[in-house]
Amino acid sequence: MKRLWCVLLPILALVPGAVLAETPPALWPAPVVTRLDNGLVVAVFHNPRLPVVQVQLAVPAGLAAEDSTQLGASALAASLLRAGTSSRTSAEFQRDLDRIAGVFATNVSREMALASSGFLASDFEAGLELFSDAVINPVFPDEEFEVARRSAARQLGVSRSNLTTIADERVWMAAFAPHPYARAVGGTLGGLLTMSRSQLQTFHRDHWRPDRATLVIAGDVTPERALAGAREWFGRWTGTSDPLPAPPVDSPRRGRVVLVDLPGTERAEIRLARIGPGRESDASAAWSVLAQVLNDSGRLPHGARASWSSLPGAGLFVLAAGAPADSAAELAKALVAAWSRVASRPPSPAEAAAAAEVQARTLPFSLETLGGLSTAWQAGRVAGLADDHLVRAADRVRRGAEAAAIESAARAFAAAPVIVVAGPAERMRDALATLGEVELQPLDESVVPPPAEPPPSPEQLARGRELVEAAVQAHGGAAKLDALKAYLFGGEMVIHNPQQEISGLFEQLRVEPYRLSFLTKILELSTRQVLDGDRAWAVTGSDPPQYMDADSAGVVGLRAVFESDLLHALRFAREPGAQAVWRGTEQTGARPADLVEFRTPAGARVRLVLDGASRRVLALDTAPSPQGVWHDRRWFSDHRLVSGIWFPFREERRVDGTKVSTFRMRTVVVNPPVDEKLFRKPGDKR
Amino acid sequence: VGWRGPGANDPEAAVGAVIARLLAGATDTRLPAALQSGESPVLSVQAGWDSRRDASFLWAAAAPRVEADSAQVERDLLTAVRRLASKAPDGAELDQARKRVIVPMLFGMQSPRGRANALGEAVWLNGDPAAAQQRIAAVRRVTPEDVRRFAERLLRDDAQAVVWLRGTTPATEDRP
Repeated sequence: MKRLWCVLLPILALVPGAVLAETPPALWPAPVVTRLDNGLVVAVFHNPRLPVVQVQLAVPAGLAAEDSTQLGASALAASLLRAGTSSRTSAEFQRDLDRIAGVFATNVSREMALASSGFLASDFEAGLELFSDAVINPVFPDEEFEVARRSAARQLGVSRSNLTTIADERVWMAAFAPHPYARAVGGTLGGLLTMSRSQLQTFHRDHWRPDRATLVIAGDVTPERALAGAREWFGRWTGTSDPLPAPPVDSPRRGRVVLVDLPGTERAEIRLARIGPGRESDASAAWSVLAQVLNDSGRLPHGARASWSSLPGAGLFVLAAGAPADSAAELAKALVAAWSRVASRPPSPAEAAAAAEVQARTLPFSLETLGGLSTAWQAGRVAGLADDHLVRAADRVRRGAEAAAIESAARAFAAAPVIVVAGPAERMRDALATLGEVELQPLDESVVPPPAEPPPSPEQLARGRELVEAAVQAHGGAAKLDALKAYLFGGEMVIHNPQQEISGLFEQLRVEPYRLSFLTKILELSTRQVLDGDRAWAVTGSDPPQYMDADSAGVVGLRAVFESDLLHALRFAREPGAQAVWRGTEQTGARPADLVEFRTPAGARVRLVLDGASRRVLALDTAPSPQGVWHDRRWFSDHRLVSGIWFPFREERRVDGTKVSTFRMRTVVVNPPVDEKLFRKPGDKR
Repeated sequence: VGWRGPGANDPEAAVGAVIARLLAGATDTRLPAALQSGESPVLSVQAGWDSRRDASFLWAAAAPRVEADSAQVERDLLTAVRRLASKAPDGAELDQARKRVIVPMLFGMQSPRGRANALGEAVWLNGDPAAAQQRIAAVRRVTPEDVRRFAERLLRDDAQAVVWLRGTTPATEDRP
């Protein structure tokens, strides 16, 4: 610190009055507020110290506005505002933004979505027109939608690898579920992968509306000029937005330990939490002061932090800490003890006053930038605070330190918190059980537990059986399929990697029961995998060939491959125990396709996608999540008749929407002569 | 590719920052127009101006596709940059480039931390905290002829450096 001052003091001494005179200290007066005829509230903070303007729109289109079938829609919709409008392509929007050297950004929280733009004050009208076009008229083009959806899914995957992020998200879930505040920013993989462009358009139509939105215009623009611009570019905006859900109630998980299992991790993250008053309540300030006291007073275990997040209707108080997995239970106990002491030994008036003073004095730092000022004002406005709430913000913080307020907040800590621990469950479970009933959660995509699927109706079962029979008939009939004892097929294959595509050749011979020879030639490398009942082996190269026996997992894998073809799927679907169920329709190409789900003899869930007219199988879905998201889909096309059976000559596999492989058949031979030598490993005496 | 230029106190130093923004950083700039139109062999282009007390550095970079003729890309990149010395920007082109220099500076000076950074940089680079404010004014004053003349002065063969970065896959025995 001493060295820093050695640098700073000479600099400050050299600052001439002229520089500071041009950038006077910021002031936060109440804004000039006007409500347009369409309900849009426009607030103008006139601040001429720099020749720039920032405009920021807040709409009730955050996580709380999402439908449970659209998880991730709020962030995706916001990110695509600049991807094209009814009058500009994405490139044209960027070009026009570049011409004024403007910036455009969006941000989504649980309570609201924000879009903002900054530019020179001299470009105010041009910038506001561009901004209004993005937020009012986005079209969510197909291509950009797909790119953004995949990017969001990838981002979600990255965040899944971060222990701190997982713990932070899960504590909100544990505290607030089933209220929408439980949702994770960015949504869920399932929500993103099943979301359609039209759902996004609907989300924008229902929530990006003027009646409950606020537009802040801050910077070097007079209220008159700002309001004229707002009327010009936002006055014709119409519609009303859907109401937000009711405030949440206290969590049913209090007193329980939610253990998020992350096998293989060495560390654990621990969170203790409880719901508190909403931002609109004066009591909220006391909770914020409590967090400050805990952080400043040494009342918490080493490395632990307290935080208070306030939203409209409710807030969340969290104690957070991390530790090696083997120490997690001990640390959790120490945190619980610190939690209880808040109630039994509340902060003294002096401690509370000092903490409040720190918050009151640092408050201006968050309001120094036009963006910070806009966000703080809009956050208060969304919670129902008065237009001049920022003027009194510091006083409000200081009132939070008053004895009655602090004592009232501290009493809430007498009740047990929600406890969330993320880490390797096996190593922590028993020790954590001393803190309360342990509720084990896998690291899955669920933010709110999935609804139990209702049992299929007799009509769904009857329709499912009927459609399976129709599909079998469409592929040649039961007699032909049952007579198929072996078939040989081959052609070209392409593996689609993110970096490059790899092409090769393949040939498969399938012989009932469970005999498979799968030959691939990729980049001069030839590999043949062989399954022969309950054993398997592979041979690679030819000079000399390298043989390798498969372990039990390899055998299971090849048996699964053997059963995974379309013809086995049709056979399995017909079996009495398959419980084929009609699951509605899906728009596939020009017409709806029927979805029929069944279980294989091994108990796996598989779904057929049947052409609405021909009843041929268009796709096969596997690997469903508990939420009903099917991760793995193989598309079949180019059906051709071979020996009375309709085979697909093209198969494209997609995992979570991303194309991973394509197989193009050149030959299919039904019941060919089988060369037994193919299944015999050289040197094998069996 | 890069060129060594004058120090931060050079009267024309502000022109260098404008030149970098004329070259890249937005859709309508020169490098994307020259190297990335149509079926381009170039994946991305960038340019920047790094100003220090005793010298500065104008750089421009292109990332060719794997199958591209990288020598041709280098020639195209050099040609596009050197064209600044023969074809001055028009008014609109220059106006946009100046804004792209100024707007981030102004937004960066909103907070006490941002202003302190700007003042500290001015002291270290120019020996004068007032240079933070003067830099903005100097950028505003840059003319098309300033750009052409400074480019002519800057883009000399004897001040030029070319660096190629080739992506390689380490041999198996070299991998950790």
